[in-house]
Amino acid sequence: MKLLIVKHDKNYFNEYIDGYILPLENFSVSYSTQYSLEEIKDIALKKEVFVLINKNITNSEVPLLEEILKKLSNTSVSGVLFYDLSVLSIVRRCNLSLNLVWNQTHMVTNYNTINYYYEKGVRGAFLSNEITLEEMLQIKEKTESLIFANIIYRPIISFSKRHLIQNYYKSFSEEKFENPISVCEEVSGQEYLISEESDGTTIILSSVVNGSFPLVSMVEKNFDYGVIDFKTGDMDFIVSRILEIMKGNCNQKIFDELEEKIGNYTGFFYKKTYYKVK
Amino acid sequence: MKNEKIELLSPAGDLERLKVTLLYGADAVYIGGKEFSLRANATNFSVDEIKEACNFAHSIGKRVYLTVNIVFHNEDVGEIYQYLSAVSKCGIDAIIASDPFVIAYVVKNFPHIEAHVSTQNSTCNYETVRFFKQEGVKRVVVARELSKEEIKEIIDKTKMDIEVFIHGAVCTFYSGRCALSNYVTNRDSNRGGCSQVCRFALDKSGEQHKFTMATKDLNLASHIAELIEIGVKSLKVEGRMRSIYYLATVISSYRKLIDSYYAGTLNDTFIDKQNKILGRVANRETSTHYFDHVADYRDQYYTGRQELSNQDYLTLIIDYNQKTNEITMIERNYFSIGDEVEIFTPNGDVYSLIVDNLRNHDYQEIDVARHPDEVLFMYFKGKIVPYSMMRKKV
Repeated sequence: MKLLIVKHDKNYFNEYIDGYILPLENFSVSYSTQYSLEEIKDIALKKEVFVLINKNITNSEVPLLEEILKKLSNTSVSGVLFYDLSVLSIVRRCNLSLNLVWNQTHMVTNYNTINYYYEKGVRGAFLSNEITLEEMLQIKEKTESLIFANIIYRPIISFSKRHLIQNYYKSFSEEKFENPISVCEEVSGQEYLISEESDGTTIILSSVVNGSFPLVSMVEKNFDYGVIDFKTGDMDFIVSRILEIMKGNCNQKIFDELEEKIGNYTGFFYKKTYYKVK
Repeated sequence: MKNEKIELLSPAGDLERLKVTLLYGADAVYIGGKEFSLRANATNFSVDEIKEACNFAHSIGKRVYLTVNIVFHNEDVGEIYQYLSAVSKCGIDAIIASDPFVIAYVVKNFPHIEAHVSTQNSTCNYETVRFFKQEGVKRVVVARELSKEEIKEIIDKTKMDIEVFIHGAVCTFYSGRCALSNYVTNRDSNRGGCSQVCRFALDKSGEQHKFTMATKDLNLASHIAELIEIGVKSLKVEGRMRSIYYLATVISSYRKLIDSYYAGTLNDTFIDKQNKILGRVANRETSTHYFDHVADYRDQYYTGRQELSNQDYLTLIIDYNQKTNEITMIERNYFSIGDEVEIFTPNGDVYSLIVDNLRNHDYQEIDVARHPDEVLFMYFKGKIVPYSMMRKKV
């Protein structure tokens, strides 16, 4: 199993990880740090790189997207993580030599759909954060697709085209503009970060999900890529501990140290959602 | 003007709603089965009821679309094939799906059923529509974040059947791209469990400043002509959990707007009149959202809102004796002798009257109807048919 990190800091490099996920400038959302094609090419010479294209593409962006995908197909990037199906459509129509990873945030939830995309030439799938570890392991068993999963991350929960922070301040006729803002939801008591960019607004959970225990099972089942996705000054420390677990070192001390740094919230790894109110 | 009339597509949460909305002028309905539909908590239809729905709709020349639009988890996958096989024999005209493996399966195995892509996919561009077209999809329900120009460009470049939401509740976030419900209430929004957390109160940290991020409802009644002229195939109304009164009112108004366009009689006065009627059944303010502008703070509720519940709906008419001109009806809300009311019918007729006679279920004359669900009788001469409704005068 390889370890990738989403590169939230342009100046951060780690020699021990396998590669980076780089949000593409103007074509990715929910990440404040984005990378130009030139920067991507440069980093791809040193490490394995996956390019993130996760915005809802508009008509007017399609021609530029096509141009960029053509350019990317002539680089050494390992693949493109895509949300909008226009990416898949362009790659197929133009017969581009580009590995694709299906990365539709909350929709990568079953092996059948992953296999559907695999038959369309999509070689990887980035699993949703809202499924259980058991579901993830079952998916891995039932597909040939490369499987990507978040291990340590702040979950991206929602994305809107609306400018929700600007709208908030205008609604209350306030002159100031803080971005991002922290909010608390009354019923659950959970805290969220709302951040706005030109393409819209993202809601992110404040808590970090600690998937260090689930990682053990993922390693056993030969998951292909584990991902760290949050901004922290402790990245070297976290990477070193995660790499230990990936090597099979399951010393309790490692899990305790990680828990001390990032807490013990496990998201949906062990919690199933329901949808019918009885 | 386009030759082929645009389709008016209505939701229906159960058989009664389906019959009412078709009688009031919908060309087609979309319904959910007991499983795999994004309104998991609506009454929804059993397989036998789907068959009955199709028989009824087809008998009056209308169509039925079945939503199978959840985002599937592993546990749902095993049962879907048997379900699709069963519903494929019911006579449904299309399946609305979001998960592409369902779409592919329908296209491959049930060529007599159209595959429609759900708005849950938030399709925003022509390239994605081309992808679906190549997959054998007949129609795409585009994202509610698109402008008129974007919708037109998609139609022009793909020649695909495009369906557009015109009325009802809208999400704050891109459909399919919101898991707030999962995190806050543990209910899976992409499998029909959305608890509408965008309407919950949030508290800005450190300020004790409560707010919501809810949206106003959508209303494109003033844009029917443009929607027809850019080549939209189908106009969709939201609300599988809405009442028959709501559906009758909304569908009746849009039916009249569409018909007046094709008759060449659509004008601002008529649109204003229909908007006034639509406004009476709304429980939120409305907006055109992205269709004709970039949605902003005026399209949302940050300070919460008052539910504008009203008691306009007075009775449901269940029978009419043409010899005696006697209406049999079921009370829904309080009214009394002397009230100015209207009876509107599935045929589009609207009668204004002042209530001057009323009898209760014991056939005694009464001045006031104050018992919802009570059977009442009233004399009135008109072309009244079952499923006509009486409301306060608009």
